[in-house]
Amino acid sequence: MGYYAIGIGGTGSKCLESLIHLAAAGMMPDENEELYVLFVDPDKANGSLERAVKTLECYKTFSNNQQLAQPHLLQTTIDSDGDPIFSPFDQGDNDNPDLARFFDYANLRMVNDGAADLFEVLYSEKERTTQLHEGFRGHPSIGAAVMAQTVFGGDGPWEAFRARVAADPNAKIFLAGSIFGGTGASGFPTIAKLIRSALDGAQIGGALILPYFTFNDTGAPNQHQLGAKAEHFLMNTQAALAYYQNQDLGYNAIYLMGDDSQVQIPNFSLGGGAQQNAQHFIELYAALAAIHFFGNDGAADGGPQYFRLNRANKPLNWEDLPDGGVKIQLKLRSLYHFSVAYLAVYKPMLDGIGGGQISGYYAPWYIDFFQRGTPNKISLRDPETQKSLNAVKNYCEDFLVWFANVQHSKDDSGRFAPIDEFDLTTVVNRISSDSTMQQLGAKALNELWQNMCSAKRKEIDGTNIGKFLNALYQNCEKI
Amino acid sequence: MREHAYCIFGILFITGLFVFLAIVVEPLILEAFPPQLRTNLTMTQSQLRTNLTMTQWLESFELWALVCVGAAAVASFLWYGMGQNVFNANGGKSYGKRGWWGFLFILPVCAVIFSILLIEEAESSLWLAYLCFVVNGLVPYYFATVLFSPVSVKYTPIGGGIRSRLPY
Repeated sequence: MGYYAIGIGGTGSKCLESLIHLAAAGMMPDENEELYVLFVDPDKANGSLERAVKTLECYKTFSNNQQLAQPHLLQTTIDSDGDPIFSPFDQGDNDNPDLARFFDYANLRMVNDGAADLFEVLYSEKERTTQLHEGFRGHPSIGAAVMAQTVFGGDGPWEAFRARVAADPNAKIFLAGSIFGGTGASGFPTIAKLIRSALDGAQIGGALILPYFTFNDTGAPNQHQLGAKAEHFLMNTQAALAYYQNQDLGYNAIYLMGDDSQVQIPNFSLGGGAQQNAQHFIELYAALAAIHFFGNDGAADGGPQYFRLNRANKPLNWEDLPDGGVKIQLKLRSLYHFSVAYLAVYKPMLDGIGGGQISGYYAPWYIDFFQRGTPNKISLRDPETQKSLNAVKNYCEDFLVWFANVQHSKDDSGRFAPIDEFDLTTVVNRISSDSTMQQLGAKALNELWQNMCSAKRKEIDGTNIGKFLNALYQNCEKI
Repeated sequence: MREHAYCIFGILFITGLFVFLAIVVEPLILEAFPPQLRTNLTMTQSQLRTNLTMTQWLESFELWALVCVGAAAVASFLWYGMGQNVFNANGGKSYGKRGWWGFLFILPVCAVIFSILLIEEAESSLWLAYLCFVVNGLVPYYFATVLFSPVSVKYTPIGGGIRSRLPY
């Protein structure tokens, strides 16, 4: 049995970003199962998508590194076939894609007048001619047509996906996307139906994200431009839900979630790199929904299941998460403490020792884990070692920014100011504003240092640097 | 906690061992190779001393030998306290300085110098006693710190690498 997660559109990719971090923290139901991820977005330059792909790369660089092998961190193998992003416009000559060119409207008019007339009825001129390289502009009717034409329609990631799932009789496929935008709303029903028809035995689950953010009009599309408008979100949602209610979408389980506090997105963008909306706790919920789906057998009668998530408390707290939030709180806290300790104390110390500014004996754990290694000691100046240590650093930074933004997004005061760039002090202050995520104070750091200095390398699982990471993580768990 | 117990017991054990050396073994060695003691040596009127016996001289030696061992023990515990409470502050940002470890040698060194200066005088052959003072003062401090430093400074003493082969 394998886990398959497909993020559709910007929100979908953010849900996968959360899922990757939860997998890193050890939240997957079975860590021996591989998680296959695929992003679906016509806007490959989308900032949110880019960030999610960066998270995936950071994760894979860390978890695939043999020097860092150990039994606690990033245990789930996450895979993707080559390019993890599928864009419907990848195939053919689609440098300046629009709907008319995509469906060869000019030719259609010549060969089939009736079909061309129908096309005109279904799509306005603006919809037919708007450039789609930045997504479907909040118009699922465009996206649904394009998706239906391209998914499973050629080579690329879908063929690899189909081959994988066909060979896996217990495959569990989870899709995540927003209901109120363009790409997610069009892909969520369309892709599920296509998967169901191509791979009938697969279990399919999905997180359908209802509106949870808004944005002001500054930078929003004007009346001449096609694009998502926040004022339409609720209306779109209502219409879509009414439609889905009467349709068999092919899902075995659907998780509906949204948030009426509607945080304000500071920098609106139609698409592209500037569309980098900060991480939000709703995406954490979606990732937990995926984990719930992967870990459950489904309804006894095989019929579809529907889950709706409410928030009981304002502001949101850990008890609002599934199972009282006990496990996730514990796992994320350990990873948080590990990341902070690594970035604030241990990595700088290793840099100092490697650079010759600090003598190795100042840090007994360095002698124990790096100088007494078998068969050979580990040189900090070795490029491979540097690469490995930086892989940990990159992942930790990525995780802390995500966690800080998720933590901060639950603030109902409307003062959500997301962090884009990593800054240790800022992220720590944000995360530790939650009393259950206490800051690593001097006392805890001293205790951690002492424990690291007395850790017994021979008693710790892992290879090379993995032993050091394992010791650090296990000692962070004790804090 | 267990590491603390090991280390403190270890320092006490080394101290005890050298106390035993100072009051049992070294006097036996010195009796085997006795110094030439003064006889009817008249100094000033007020310091008139007569016939310093071997027993008296050995008592004097034991006293100063114990001073050396005591100084080494004080230095060892000072190092332990600093390693435990000062050098690992801020999660290792204030790490164990080898200079401090060397500086603390000053205590046993002073004790050795005072012992050499203040032991009951003999006319000759005191080199063996002086050697005993040096051993009693410096060796226990060195071994106590090399073998039983707090974990955060366990490799700071020169030769501390041996700790990596010990089970604590």
